[in-house]
Amino acid sequence: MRGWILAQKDIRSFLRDPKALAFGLAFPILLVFFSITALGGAGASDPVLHLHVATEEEAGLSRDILDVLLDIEELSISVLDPKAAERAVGAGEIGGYLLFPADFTEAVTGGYGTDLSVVVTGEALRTRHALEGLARDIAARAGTSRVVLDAGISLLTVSQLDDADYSGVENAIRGLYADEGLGGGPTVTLEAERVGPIQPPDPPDWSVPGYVVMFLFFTAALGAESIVLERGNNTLERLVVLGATRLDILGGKFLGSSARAMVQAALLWTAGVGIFGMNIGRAPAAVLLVTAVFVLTSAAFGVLLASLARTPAAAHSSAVLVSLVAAPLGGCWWPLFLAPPWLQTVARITPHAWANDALLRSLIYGATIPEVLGEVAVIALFGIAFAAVALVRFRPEA
Amino acid sequence: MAQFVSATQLHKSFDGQPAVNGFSLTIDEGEIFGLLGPNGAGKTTTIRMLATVLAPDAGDAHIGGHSIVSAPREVRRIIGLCPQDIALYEDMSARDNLLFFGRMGGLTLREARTRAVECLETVNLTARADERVARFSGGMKRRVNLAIALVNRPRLLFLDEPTVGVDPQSRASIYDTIRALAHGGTTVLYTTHYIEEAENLCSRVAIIDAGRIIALDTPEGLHGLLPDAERPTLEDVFLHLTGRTLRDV
Repeated sequence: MRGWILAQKDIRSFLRDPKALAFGLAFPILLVFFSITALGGAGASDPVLHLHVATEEEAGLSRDILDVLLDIEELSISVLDPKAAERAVGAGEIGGYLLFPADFTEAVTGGYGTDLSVVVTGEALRTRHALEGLARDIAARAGTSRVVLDAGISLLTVSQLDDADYSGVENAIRGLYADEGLGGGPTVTLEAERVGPIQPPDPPDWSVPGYVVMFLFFTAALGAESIVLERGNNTLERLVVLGATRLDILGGKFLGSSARAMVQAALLWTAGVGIFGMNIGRAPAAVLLVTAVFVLTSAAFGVLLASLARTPAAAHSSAVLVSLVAAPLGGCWWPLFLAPPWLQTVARITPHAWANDALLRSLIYGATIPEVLGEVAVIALFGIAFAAVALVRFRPEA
Repeated sequence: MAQFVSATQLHKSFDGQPAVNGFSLTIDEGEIFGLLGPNGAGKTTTIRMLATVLAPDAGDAHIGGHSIVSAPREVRRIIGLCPQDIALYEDMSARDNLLFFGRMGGLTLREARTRAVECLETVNLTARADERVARFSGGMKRRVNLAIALVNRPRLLFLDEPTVGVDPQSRASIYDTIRALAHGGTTVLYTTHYIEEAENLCSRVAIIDAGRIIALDTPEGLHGLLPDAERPTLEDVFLHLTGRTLRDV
């Protein structure tokens, strides 16, 4: 009961303090706004890269592949004459092109090597990467088809025919390909797949969760300052004389910090959806659960910090330092999958990483509550550990 | 009069340095008892031990029959502390401070409201009850500090230098409040630097130095410690007993 009275006092103080309100509520929204503005145009609204392809074959497999590519809605491709393509690259009119050689069909169906050429200017890095990716994909699929062809021949040969008929079988299979209208070679297909009803994420979908996690932790960690200030103001001593126990004091501060951070979370998510147009995902309950558990863990960290810091300045600077290190490390400033594998492993020492993972999985991939329970459990374990150490360390009279 | 406080051989050291060294005394119920001593004499440490904020290294004290060592919770129910430094929330009004500390002291909301009004009247701050304490003068803050110590009707009130930096009007108001409390049966343990305060307010005074009591008597009785002096003041006695060396702590 005393703890709740203390928490109510802290919440009222927070709501009365314009600076605290500005920092805790308005500043995060402004920062998200600037971040999204800076990232504007990234993500789903990126313009599609236009690619150029040429083939030295008059007919055959490369022409079939080009027909398939031209039918794919998500790709923007122009087919050029090889000489025209060469001239255009030389003149700097296009960044580059992919060239099928004259022996492409023969090489693929005959099982010997040939080269797909990627011709690019030095500056066209994005074009080069795109064309190389396309070339690798085509080569892999063509190679697979050849393996299938060889395996089919071998199987037929071993099981049904004697040595004398090998070439006859191979010819028969080539005939089958031809009869099916496949240009005498293996079929190459490219498919663009979209799984389920998930929409491509917009910049706010990526950036808002990270900022929410960062600021929730920051605000709650700064709760440490409030406890140390009570000591500095001598009010802590007064609370002890009035009968408040260590549990009352830590519990009250924990509840106060949690309530402040919950208000902040509600406001940030509302701003994310209402102002920045982010998609709350298919599982908003999971997002709320992760947020709530992360808030409690962050508040527990604030209490832990208060049990270690001796002065308000020490509590404040420790809260800032830990928050600013843990935020980028835990994937608040960029998605963790962009970080090197070793850093992704190290990030697991922060509750931020688990919270960001769970939030992004819910927001972008629609993970539901049962699917984020693992992350939620780990975040809760962090909180329990923080609170346990705080209870052991905290001395109101010290 | 019944004995309300009884301290026996209290000891407390910080980093090996004794702050209180064998402190013993008794205080009667309804008495205003003065604790006089130079800086660093151990007055505040003694009060913090008696108020159960600090645990003694050795010794014990009983307040209203409860041990500060074995029954600190029971002791806390009957004491009030007005610390030397102002201990309140400056971003809150005087009334809200009293309400909050009253509730933390175990009063119901209704009781806390009633007590807030009474305590504000006691320290003559009713007219400014709803102003933020940050706007108050030093003297007014001291009076709120005292009012908070009274909010849960303590039977023993610790006043640790409650008039430091206070203007004469506020000081007179605080004296009146203390006298009225004692008249109503509240026991007061009062520490001060101001010797005339001890002389005017307290029925008995202990002079403490280096963590132990070096003299204890009524103000008149203490005058007798300087029999050769003509009309000795309590200050003369104090300087005689504690010396004239500066105490820069």
